[in-house]
Amino acid sequence: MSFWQGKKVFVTGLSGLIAQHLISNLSDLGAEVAVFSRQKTDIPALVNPDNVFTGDISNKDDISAALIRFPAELVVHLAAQSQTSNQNISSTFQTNTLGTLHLFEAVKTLRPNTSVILASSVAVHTRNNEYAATTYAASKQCAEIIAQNYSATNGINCMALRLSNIYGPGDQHKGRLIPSLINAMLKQEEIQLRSHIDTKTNLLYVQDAVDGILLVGRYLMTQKRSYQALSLCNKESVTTRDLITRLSQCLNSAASVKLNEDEQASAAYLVLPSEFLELTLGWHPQVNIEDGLEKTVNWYQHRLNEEGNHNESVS
Amino acid sequence: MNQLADFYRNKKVLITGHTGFKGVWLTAWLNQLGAKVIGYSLQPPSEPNNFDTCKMSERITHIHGDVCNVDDLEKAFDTHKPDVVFHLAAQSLVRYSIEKPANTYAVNVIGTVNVLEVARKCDSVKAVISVTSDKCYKNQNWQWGYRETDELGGVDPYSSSKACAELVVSCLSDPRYQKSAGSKTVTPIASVRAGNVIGGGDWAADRIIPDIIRAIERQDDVTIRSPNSTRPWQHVLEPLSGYLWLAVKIVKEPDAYLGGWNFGPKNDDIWTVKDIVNGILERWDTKNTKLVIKEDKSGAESQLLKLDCSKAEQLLDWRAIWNVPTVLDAIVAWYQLYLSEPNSDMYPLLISQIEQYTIDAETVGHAWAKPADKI
Repeated sequence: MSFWQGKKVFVTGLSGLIAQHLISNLSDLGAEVAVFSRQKTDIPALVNPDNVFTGDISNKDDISAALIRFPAELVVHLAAQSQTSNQNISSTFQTNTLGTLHLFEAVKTLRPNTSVILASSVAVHTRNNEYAATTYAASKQCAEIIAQNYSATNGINCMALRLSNIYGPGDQHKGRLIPSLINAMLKQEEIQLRSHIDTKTNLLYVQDAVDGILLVGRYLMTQKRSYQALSLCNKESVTTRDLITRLSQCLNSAASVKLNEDEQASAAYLVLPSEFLELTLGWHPQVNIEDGLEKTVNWYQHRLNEEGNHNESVS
Repeated sequence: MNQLADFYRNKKVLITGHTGFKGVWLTAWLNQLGAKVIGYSLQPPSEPNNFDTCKMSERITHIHGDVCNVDDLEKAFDTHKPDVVFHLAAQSLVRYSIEKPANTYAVNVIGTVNVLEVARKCDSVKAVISVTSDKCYKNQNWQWGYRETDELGGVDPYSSSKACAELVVSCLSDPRYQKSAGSKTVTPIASVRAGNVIGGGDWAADRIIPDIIRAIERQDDVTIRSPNSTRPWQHVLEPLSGYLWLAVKIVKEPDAYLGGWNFGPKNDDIWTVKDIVNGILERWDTKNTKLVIKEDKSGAESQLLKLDCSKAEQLLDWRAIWNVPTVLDAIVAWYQLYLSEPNSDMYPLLISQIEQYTIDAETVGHAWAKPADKI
């Protein structure tokens, strides 16, 4: 019987790629999953309707109401605003920082023995003694400080996972790097780059990310452990140039790219997977970039075909 | 006329949190320097309080407003077009932060986002000083002083909210952020971190000086639980001289004085709680109040967090001036006058202590206290 059989797992934030894959993995493993989401739409069919909670993570009553009803053993806190806008940075901090605070307050008050995984980002790594590079990174660093605080002061079993750029089948965010490249190439449109073509990105295939989350979750639920922030990423980064070459091989078509000459190629800051993940938990990425991109491209092609068929049948 | 008076005369200065203990001292000093002060704050935090005893509402432009309310903040900035902004508004009590973490974070983190954003968008603003705390640093139980680049973090919601406020300042002050957010010119923003400020006019709960004064007033004993623990005590005027001088330097050279700044006490002048209590009781010369020690050895006291103020010393020529005995003299003089004449206006005493502090700074030759035409 799997460790996860009957385990009660509460996942916040459903709009992202990780949530979809995490929930389907957990269901396959026999866990009872509850979700907390802003919208009622896009709730995976796998989730029992009684375990679907809607609300705003920046409203403390909403998250408390959910945790009163669902006796979670593990919370995976994915809810965050990742596409931030400089026009409304207050809402970035409301969601990513105060939202995390509300979650930990609810856990402390209602479910003090529940373990918590905070999804953070490798973007919190900075160079040259800078504290925060972007508003998104700052809001996530603040969330980590809160997690550390609740772990140290209230004994909440908790770790932060600093995720790199996660890609894979099912990503609906067309603004993100890989979906935007694939979409443009499938539609044979010109690719508009937002950054320099030689900018490096640390990519991690979504199933590898989910495996890491599951390992850490299981570890937290079975052992008392002091807080750490763990980087969940690949050892190597790839340039956008390299990605475009690989994708055009997968798709067997040439890519037309509009270079962004305004931006400098930012030197990739070195992020490495956490030693704790690799040495203690035995986590290693299983899907290399070739296979990962192929699976991702297949999903988009499949979906495009379905859309095509659908449109034909409608007309 | 010294450097500060030369700069601040007729300058419009907006202070958030001007009704708090530190805010009133800063307001009084800026008034004395000839600035036009606009205060934006909630009602005073305690009863009695420094704001009312100094009759401050008659002496400045007083706006009742919440830093969590962006519309009200924008209105205040649009109406008054300040040259310099000091952001002091905060939920500053550790015990309250444990009971009300969400409110503490909303005020200290989102409030800071709001003030910095509104200030950035306001064309008249030439410098913003955002005040956090020495508690923003993650206490590593080091023996040496903490520097401005050390790791942030905190074990209670107040401290961790101040660590978060530092992150907010760090990213919102970054020219790359400001340009990407549409600023044509970069608004210089610096953050400042002081130690445990003490002085006349503090009535906050759970602070050592107000606790002693309340005991004297009730003719009760002063009970302390950690007699030998030390805190970075400093008179409130010490960091304020640093904040005021830093803003002057920033306006004159916007690129040269950014980032975080420690304004702590002299590190060879660290007193224990017991010594502070005895120092006040001796000066007060009272027989009705005694020091009672009920030592609590259960909780592990974290090490004193010292501040390394080399950056301010080197780049601003700023230094702490008053040693602890001088500070205690000033405090006792303040509360004795207040308790003997409860309805008297305390403002003149604030001003005379500010003048005394300025003379002492001039005597030791500190940069900000030098005559304006001599530099």
